[in-house]
Amino acid sequence: MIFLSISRIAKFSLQNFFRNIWLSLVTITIIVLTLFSVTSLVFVNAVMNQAIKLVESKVDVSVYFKPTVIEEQIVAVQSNLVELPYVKEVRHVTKSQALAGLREQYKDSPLILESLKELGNNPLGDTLIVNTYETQDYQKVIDILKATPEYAVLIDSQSFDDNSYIIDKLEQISKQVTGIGWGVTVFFALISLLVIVNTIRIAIYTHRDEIGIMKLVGASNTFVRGPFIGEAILYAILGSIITFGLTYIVAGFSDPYIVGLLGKTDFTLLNYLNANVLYIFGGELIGITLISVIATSLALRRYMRI
Amino acid sequence: MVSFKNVSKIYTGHQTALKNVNLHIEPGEFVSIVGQSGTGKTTLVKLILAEERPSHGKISIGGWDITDIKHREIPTLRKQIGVVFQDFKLLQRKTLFENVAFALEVGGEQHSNIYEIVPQVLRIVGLEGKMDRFPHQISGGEQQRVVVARSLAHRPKILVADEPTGNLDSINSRDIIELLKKINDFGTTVILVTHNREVVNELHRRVITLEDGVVISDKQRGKYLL
Repeated sequence: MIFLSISRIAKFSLQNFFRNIWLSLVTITIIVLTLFSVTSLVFVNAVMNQAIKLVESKVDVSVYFKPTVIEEQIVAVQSNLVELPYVKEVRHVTKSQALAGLREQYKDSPLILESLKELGNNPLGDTLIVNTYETQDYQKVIDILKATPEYAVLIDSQSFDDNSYIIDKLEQISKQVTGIGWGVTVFFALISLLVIVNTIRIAIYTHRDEIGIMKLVGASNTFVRGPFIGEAILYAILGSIITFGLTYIVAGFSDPYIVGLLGKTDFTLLNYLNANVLYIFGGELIGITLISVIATSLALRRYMRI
Repeated sequence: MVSFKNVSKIYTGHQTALKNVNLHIEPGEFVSIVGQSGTGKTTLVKLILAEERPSHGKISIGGWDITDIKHREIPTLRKQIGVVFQDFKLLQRKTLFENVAFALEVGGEQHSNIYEIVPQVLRIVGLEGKMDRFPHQISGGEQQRVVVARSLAHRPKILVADEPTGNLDSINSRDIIELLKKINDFGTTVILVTHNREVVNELHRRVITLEDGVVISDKQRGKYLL
């Protein structure tokens, strides 16, 4: 008996869907537009986060040592810094590597190369390049270097102060961009919720007479509600599948522009989608199905009182 | 079969639709309930179908006291009553076959039985060749015959026809009344609610007359009085 009822409800859902194909297509189109807008915002957030990460990865603290400082002293500072939990990496650039780098950088500038030759001895000191996991931790590194007297005497103090301003600004921008991005996404999701709920309400309103007739010939509330809920689930599933396909197509087209924007990077929208496919589409499918089913049940309630 | 004991119905706003109505309809009877517009005929039908609850009094259908019927019991009641409305009330998105089948499907009838019963009842009302059409593709008279077929499909004990000829011409009206008489001959109790004088006078059956919500006459072989 239960199987018979379920199979009939499924049959009626499909019948209603195809016999009212224009209303079905309009509802699905609105669901697709809504989901696609939300997905686009997720993309924008991902690209912005990636851009910030990229800039963050370019930021480091370079500790320039005085030319008189010996290798053992530098290695001691390096090993102390590496032990800090928030420090990712400490690279040691020796004075000869630094000089070679400078020569390479200014190979087209004969005046500078000539000046270096005039000096005779290598005027540069050794450098430690420190990378932390989070940008806000750079200041901690700087503070430790400043606050420890035995380090301070070894270091050219001007070397890292200039970075702290950039780091602060970047951190500020990063927080603001992320906050605004999610704010816009939530705001848009709320508008989408209202649009979908009202679309379903209108769809149910057009069938209010039908609901009354079903009730008058003895249909139970479950039997009346079932096909409408089934139709709503069908809208949600088809809307999500179309959005899924559309998103992949758009991501494929957008990737060359993303590479152009971010430079050579492992990040592409297709990679991001593949890595988060369950979260993005699983979440959207569950969300839109729940919204559609709840909106349908609420819209039906007022016509079920016959 | 149908019993009203001191039934009154007062709508919100103190509008009294029925006043102290007493009537008893035996199984297998053909009863016409007549009266001018606004006399409470439709309220009476709504009370039988539990679309409305009485303000006072007691209603029973087939020995079942439905005065305070629970909401979840209403589908069970309605499966025992066939209903024919003036405005047909067909499901526009379903074919004629599916409209009739729906009344059986809500009762959990098996597939094989549905495919046996539906063509039979559509044959009785003369629409066996139009089973795959949609309601908007047939005439008003044919639509009303589909409604009669639907009301017959689940073999109800009672058939309530609320102004079934209201939207039909005289030829189609006569066809519908003939169908109702045939259904009554098979043993189904028929309650015909109408203000069609001609129809009532030709029937020569029991007539209950309502005026301002009050039963003013109940005759076994009555005529339209008003």
